[in-house]
Amino acid sequence: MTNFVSQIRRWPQGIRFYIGLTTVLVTAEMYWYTKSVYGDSNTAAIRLQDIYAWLSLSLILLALAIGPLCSLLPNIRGKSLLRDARRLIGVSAAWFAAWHVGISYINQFKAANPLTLPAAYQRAFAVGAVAMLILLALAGTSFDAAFKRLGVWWFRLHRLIYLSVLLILFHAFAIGVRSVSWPYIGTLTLVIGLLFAAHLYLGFGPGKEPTILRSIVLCYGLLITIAVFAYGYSQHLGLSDIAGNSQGGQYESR
Amino acid sequence: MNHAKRFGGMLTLAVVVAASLFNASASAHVLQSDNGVSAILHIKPDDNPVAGKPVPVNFLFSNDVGGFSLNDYKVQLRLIQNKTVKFSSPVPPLFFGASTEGETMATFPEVGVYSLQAKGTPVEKDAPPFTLNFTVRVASAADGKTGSGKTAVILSGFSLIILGMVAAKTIQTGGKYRKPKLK
Ligand code: HEM
Repeated sequence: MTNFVSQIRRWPQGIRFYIGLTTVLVTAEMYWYTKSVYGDSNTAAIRLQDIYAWLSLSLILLALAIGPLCSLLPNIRGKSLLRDARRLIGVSAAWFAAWHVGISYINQFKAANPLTLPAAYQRAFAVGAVAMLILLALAGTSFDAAFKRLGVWWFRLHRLIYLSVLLILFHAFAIGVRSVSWPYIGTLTLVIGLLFAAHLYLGFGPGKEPTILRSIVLCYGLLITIAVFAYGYSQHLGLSDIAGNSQGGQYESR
Repeated sequence: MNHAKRFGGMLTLAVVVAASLFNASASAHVLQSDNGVSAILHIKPDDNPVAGKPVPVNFLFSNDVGGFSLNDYKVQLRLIQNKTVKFSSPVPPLFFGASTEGETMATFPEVGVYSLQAKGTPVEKDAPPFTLNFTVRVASAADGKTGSGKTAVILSGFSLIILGMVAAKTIQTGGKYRKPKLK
C-alpha cells in the first residue's frame, strides 16, 4: 500500500501525468467551446465529434513521429521525455476516438441497427469499428505491467497501429466532409509522406542493411497507403458519396 | 492486466456519459427513421444553414428490408416553424437514376428552430409511407454561429498554459529525465 502511495506521489514528476490531465481538460474544454458557439443544437454535437476525431488522428500521427524523430536526431534534447510521452499520447488518441464514436453513433445515428444504414455508412462504420478496437487494445496494453507481461508480443501487437491508421484514413475519406477538403487531405498527405520518408531513410539509407521482412512491409505499406490516398483524392475530386460533390457514376454501385 | 480492465471500464463509462450529454433534438447530418424507412440528412456544406440563404438539402435513404428506391415515392420537403409551413419543395433524385439519394435547394426564411419534414407518399403500392422530422436550428450570422465562444477559448488557453508551466517546473525539479552525470 505504501509502495502504491509513493508511486502516486511520483506521478507529477513524469510527463504522462500531465498528458493525462491535459487530455481530460481538453475534452471538457472542447465540449464547453462547441456548446458556447453552437448552443444546444445538434451542430454542437457534430462539431464536437469532428474535433475529437481530428484530435485523435493528430495524436496518433504525433505518437508515430516520435520514434523516427528520435532515431534521426539522436542528440535531440528531451529524448527520454518524448519516449516516455509516446504511450500516453496513444492512450489519449484512443480516448478521443472513443468520444468521437460514442457521440456520432449514439447521438447522430441514434444507435441505429447498422444493417439498416445506407451501404456507404455500413462500410465506413465497419472499418471505423475495427480501427477503434485496435486503438482500445493498444491503449489497454499501454501500461508498464502489460508491457512486461506481453514481452515480444507487446511490440507485435503495437505494430497494429499502422493498420489502424490506414483504416481510419479510409473511414474518414469515405464519410468525412472535412477530410476530403484541400487543407485536410493536403496536410495528411504531407505528414504521412514525411513519416514514410523517415522510415525509408532509416531502413534503406546510407549504411543500412534492410531485412527482407522490413523491405516487404515498407513496400506494401507504401502501396496500400497510396491506394487509400488515391481513394481520398478521388472523393475530393468530385466522386464523394457524402461530401456532396458527386458526379453520379458510383451511385449505381451503392 | 488489472490496469487494462480498469481502463476499459473507464472508456466504456466515458462513452456512455458522452452519449448522455448529447440528448439534444435531432438536426443535421443525423439519422431519422419512420415506418421502416430511414434517411440521413445533410445540409450542405457543413450542416449549418443560415437564414435567407438557399442551401442544398440532401437525403440518403435506406430501408429495413433493403432495396429502397426513390422512384417508388413522391417525397416532399417542408420547413415548418410554429406549425406554419415556411417552405415546401419536392425532393427529386440527386441525378437521373439515383435510387437512394435525393436533393433539393431550400431556404430557411428566418432565424429560429424549424422542423424539417421529409414526407414520402408511395406511388408503388407495396412501399410503406413515411414522415421523417428533423429539428434544425438556423443561426443569423453568416458563419452560422450562435455565440462567439471567446470566453471558452481564452479561459481554456489560460488553463492549458498554466498546466504547461506547472508541468515544466515539476518535471524539471523532479529530475526524472535528467541524464546521469558521467564521473
Ligand atoms: C464504429 C466506429 C466509428 C463511427 C460510428 C464513426 C462515425 C463517424 C461519422 C458519422 C463521421 C462523419 C462525421 C461528419 O462528417 O459529420 C466520421 C468521420 C470521421 N471519423 Fe469516425 N467513426 C468511427 C470510428 C472512428 C475512429 C476509430 C477514428 C479515429 C480517429 C475516426 C476518425 C474519423 C475522422 C478523422 C473523420 C473525418 C471527419 C471529417 O471529415 O470532418 N472514426 N466518423
